[in-house]
Amino acid sequence: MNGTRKAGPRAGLILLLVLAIPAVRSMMEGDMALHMLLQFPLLLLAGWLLTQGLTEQTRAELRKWNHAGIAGLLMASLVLMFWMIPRALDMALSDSTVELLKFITLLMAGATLELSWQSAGLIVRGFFLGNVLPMMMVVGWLYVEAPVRICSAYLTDDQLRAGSGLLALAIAGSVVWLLAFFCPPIRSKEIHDENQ
Amino acid sequence: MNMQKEMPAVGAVKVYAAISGVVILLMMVFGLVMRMTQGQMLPIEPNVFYQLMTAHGIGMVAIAGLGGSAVMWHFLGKYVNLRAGFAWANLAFFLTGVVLVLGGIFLGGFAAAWTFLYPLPANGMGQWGKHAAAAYMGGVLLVGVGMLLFYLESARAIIQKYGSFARALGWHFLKSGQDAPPATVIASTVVTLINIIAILIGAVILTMMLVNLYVPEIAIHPLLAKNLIFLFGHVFINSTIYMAVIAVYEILPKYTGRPWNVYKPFVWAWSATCLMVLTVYPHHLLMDYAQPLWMHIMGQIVSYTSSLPVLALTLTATLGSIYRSNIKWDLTSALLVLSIFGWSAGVIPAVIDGTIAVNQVMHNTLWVPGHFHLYLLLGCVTMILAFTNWIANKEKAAGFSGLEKSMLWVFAISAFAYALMFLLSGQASVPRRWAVHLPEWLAYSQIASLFAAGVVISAMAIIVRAMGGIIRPARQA
Ligand code: HEM
Ligand SMILES: [Cu+2]
Repeated sequence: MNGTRKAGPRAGLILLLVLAIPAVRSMMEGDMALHMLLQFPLLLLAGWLLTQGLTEQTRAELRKWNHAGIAGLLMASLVLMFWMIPRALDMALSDSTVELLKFITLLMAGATLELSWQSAGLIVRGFFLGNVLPMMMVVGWLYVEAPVRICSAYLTDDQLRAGSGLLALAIAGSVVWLLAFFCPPIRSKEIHDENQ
Repeated sequence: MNMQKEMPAVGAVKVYAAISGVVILLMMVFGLVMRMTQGQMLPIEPNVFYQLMTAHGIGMVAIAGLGGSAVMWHFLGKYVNLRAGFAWANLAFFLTGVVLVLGGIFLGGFAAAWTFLYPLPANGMGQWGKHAAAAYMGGVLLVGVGMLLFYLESARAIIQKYGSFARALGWHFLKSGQDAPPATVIASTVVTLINIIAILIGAVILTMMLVNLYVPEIAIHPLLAKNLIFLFGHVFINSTIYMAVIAVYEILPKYTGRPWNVYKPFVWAWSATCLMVLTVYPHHLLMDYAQPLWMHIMGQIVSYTSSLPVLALTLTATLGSIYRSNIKWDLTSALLVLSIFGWSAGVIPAVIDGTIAVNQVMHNTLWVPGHFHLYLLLGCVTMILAFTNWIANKEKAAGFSGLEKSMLWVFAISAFAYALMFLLSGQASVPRRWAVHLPEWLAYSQIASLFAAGVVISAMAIIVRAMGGIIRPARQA
């Protein structure tokens, strides 16, 4: 347990530093699909890992603000929703302040996911996924179908690949989520906890 | 493990049942007005006809969903620990959604039918504007959000008690023959799973259409839209029966004294239904020539098999449990048995229409409303009425007065005859969804209106009587 407590944040920090290297950044951000489907999830992961370094005390403090993970997951879904907007992507590329904000908010979204996922029961998680997954599908469809380039920084080909990728990811996510009902990773104790 | 707790209908269930009764009646009156308009017995303008048709369609589908949920919630709650807050939250979303839908229709003039097929909602041609269409689709979306909460709570409670959906569906029982879950739990698990999927798909297409409404440059592939809408619509309306039939599983044994035992074929049938319900919807697109051929073929084959296993087993088990059982007849048990026959009868013309060769002729004729009125009116709604009556009688067998007997017969005969008139009209190639009928079709509509009036009057008697029992505070038994 203690091992992961240390290994987690260390890996998170390394991941973050790698992602922040200008060459890595421009490589990932040069391609819309890599930008949305690789850099975003890796930033979330870095945020998640870094958060594992928090002490039990801080966590307890934070839990007061995050009943059943609702606030945390709500925030994460708002952040994700925002960075799926084409205009936001464009701004991140052209304006370094926005780029910095993107890094910070996605890290924070990863952190709130880590802080909330365990305490969120099947329902709060389900509501989060039932919100984020259809949203990803709609955005994916939008990128695929849009008759014009909706990001000025990316070509239509890019847009098409990013859109299809989002769709595929959302569909895969839905399947995994529903399959989990058949072999639930949630132990019944947690369900009981949510129950009281 | 499967001990059944006895508890009286809780508040939320009573409110669900009461709202369902009232709305079913109101929507039936809309239906009567439509049929009379087609028979030129009422001077209703076509635009109003289509508004009524939209309201009747979405209203009946939604209320069958709410009534079915009441049945499921009530009986599932005897096996697993459901929290009432979610039933109330669902109701709050439902009512807010209904206000938006009704506003879109009767204030905004939206009349694109309950199926909101793309691209009609965005093309009101002066009859309705963007905002009316948005109110309608946003309203449907809100109803979906409420139902998602409702099914997530069911899923949580089922998993808490049974460990996983696999066990709740009884898959372990197929192997070991031990420890079968109750029929109610099996049916509820199937409905929970398929409706979560249906709601997600519905949310996707509704959001896409809302985007398209305000940014028309982003077009939707019409065939994709139709596929998504019917996947959502077919699964949702189908699951209303799968929820309502729980009333048969739970209440009928109280009358026959024979428990509803779960056998392996029953488990197989419900699990197979899970897959089939999700793949059968292409029967709505048999006349869409751009649709891939394999989907047509799948639609036809699965249409033959989809409803059969569960229906056949429920029908034979029902007959078996009544046969020489000294069943006690009252309004509830009579409605339950009637509902099984109505459901069975309705599936026959449905399967016929699922045949591509027949569909070429019958598609979009009144044959289609003919088959679904048969199993929705005489099947689903009849089950809901039986349930309403059951909780009105404090979940006990009651007497069977002469008035109740005659109302039951009027209901059964006129509902059957009413659906038959739709089928006959379809056979005579009368198109569905036409406000104005040709002179040679008028007789069909006029005779049908007579039977529709019979349905409205008898249903009113049954519902008003039950309403008295539900609203009256629980005093003596
Ligand atoms: C007294 C009972 C009823 C009457 C008189 C009635 C009447 C009608 C009429 C006249 C139509 C339009 C047919 C056409 O020209 O296409 C219709 C459509 C429809 N009805 Fe009913 N109905 C009744 C009960 C029900 C019930 C119980 C349900 C479902 C639970 C239902 C669901 C529908 C649906 C989904 C449509 C399709 C609307 C559309 O085409 O968009 N009806 N009904
Ligand atoms: Cu269908």
